Amino acid sequence: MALAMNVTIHPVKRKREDALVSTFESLSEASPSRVYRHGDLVSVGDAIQVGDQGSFLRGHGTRVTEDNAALRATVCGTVERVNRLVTVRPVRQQYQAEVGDVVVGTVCEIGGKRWKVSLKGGRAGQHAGAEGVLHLSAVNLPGNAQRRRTWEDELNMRNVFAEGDAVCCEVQQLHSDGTVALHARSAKYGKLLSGHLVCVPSFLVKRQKQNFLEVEFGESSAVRVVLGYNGLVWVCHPGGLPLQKQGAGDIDSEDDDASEGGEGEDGGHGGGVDSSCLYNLSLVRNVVSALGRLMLPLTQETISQGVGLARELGVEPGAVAHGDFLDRLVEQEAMRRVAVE
Amino acid sequence: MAALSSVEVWEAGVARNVREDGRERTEFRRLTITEGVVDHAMGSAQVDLGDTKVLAVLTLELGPPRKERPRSAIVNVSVDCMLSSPVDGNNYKQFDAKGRDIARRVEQLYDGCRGAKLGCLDLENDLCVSEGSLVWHLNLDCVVISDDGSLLDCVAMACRCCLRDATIPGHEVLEQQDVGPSGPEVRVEEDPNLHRTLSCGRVPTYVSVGVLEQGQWVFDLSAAEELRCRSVMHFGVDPSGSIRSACTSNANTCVSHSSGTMADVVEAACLAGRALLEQIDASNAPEGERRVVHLGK
Repeated sequence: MALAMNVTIHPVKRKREDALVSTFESLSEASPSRVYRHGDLVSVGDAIQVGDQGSFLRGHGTRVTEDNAALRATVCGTVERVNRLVTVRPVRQQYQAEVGDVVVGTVCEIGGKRWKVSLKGGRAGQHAGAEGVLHLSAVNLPGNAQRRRTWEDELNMRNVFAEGDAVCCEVQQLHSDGTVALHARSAKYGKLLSGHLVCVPSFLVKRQKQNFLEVEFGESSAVRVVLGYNGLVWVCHPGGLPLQKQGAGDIDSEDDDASEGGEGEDGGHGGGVDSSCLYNLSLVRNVVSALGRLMLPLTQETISQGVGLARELGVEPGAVAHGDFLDRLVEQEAMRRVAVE
Repeated sequence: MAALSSVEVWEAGVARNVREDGRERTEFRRLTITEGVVDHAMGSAQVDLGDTKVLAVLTLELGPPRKERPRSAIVNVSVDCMLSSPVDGNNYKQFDAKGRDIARRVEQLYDGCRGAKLGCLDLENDLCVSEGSLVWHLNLDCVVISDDGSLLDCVAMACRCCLRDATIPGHEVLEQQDVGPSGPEVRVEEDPNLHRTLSCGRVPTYVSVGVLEQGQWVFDLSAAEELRCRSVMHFGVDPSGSIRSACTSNANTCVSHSSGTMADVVEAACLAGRALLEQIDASNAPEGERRVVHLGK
């Protein structure tokens, strides 16, 4: 699709800025040939129609020009409007790994002393570059054993992480050919259980201090949320995380297995599972998914506010994804931003 | 609730009637049908079932019928999954298999019983131009825009809605005697206002049911749920509520259910299919506008 643009080449006298900013400035000085609305494909610098409403909420992928003249797109994608929120959904955004990022992925392949962990949300197929490699020597063996990995360890890899398991790990290294090396050497990394996986665009999870969040539901029930920088979010019951903050200090994964075995025998199948627990889990999962759809950033604040709003309005988890609640969520985000400023 | 694997979490959710996205066991995701999306095709429809989106387009041709069915039209279905499951180094060998599999199932659905003389469309429509030599070939091309589970349901629904939207031109057979080897000469009506629509009262659609070992079943599985459910069955149900076809997509697992459970599942699928199709057929759009149907919450 060819987009006709008038690009003026500016002389080099401009002050030194990085290349993207100067491109943006040059594009925005050209007068727009048209103004884009909801559902249109835009490229960088195109003006977006704000509409008859005086106030709007600027979302991802947009930027207001300095003289407040117009709202311009900063990425190529589709314009989306939900009530007052104006965003540009990018065409495709690949997650770029950095060393030290906490990521959540699913194991897709086992073999050759390593697990291949898919960092991408889609279930079918993995695009090149969206897989991490978790080596056998980069995980904690059950029982906290510190020893050389033997042949038996390699044969028992499936007992540690099987195909389809969700794991939480950290990026250890980026090789020169683009391979991402992961490790799960800390007690807080490892297999994730008792929860649901949500896929959101990866740019919504900003660099933040805490990736392991907790949403309180009162009366000692809570839901834990693990934000992976690759856009996969794990929403679970506190018992599903490798490291438990409450209870007797640090418990490693072996004790988890032991307690799970005990509960399994006592409670029978699903005996220990609470229906309100599942309800809360489903609510938080849907709120995270709704935030992803609206392209709002995922932080402790936005998630707990969203959940609080849902509980206040008495919205069923199934109805969270629908128009009315999304509108209210946008309103709440608007108020939050105004309060911050 | 201690550490549970995802399969256990899902089974517990089904047992308590709270699925991953908050739905109940028998609740379908939001179904949005838009007919007439593609202007230049003879019929088109886009069906969104939650996040599973399929676009179906119909084109018509005249061609020879099958030998054993001289009066019956031929429905060719092709499903393209390239957008939702793209080819990469790992799956290049079977990149087409999923689409071909779904297409074959929908074709079987439209063919009706083996040994019957007419397919399900021919029961109410006359799609034969010249018996034994020329019939209408309906080519349904489906594109899977995104796949979030229940793809077969969505494709079958899209094909059905596409047929509802379709307009078949009238024809006139020019010579009755001395028919040449390529069949009789036919003049096809060009004026779009004189086209006729198809009656889809007997056209079935698929209803997918995931059956658990405790004897519970769920409709409309999302992608994550399909990974965890060991036993998924697809029932082809027509608007009168009778089963036209039954198949399963789990090729490598062997699950046994009691006959009581199976009877309940079959009955539930029939009722659900009938209710769904009744609701879709009942909603009418103002003349000349695109029909958009929303079902579910």
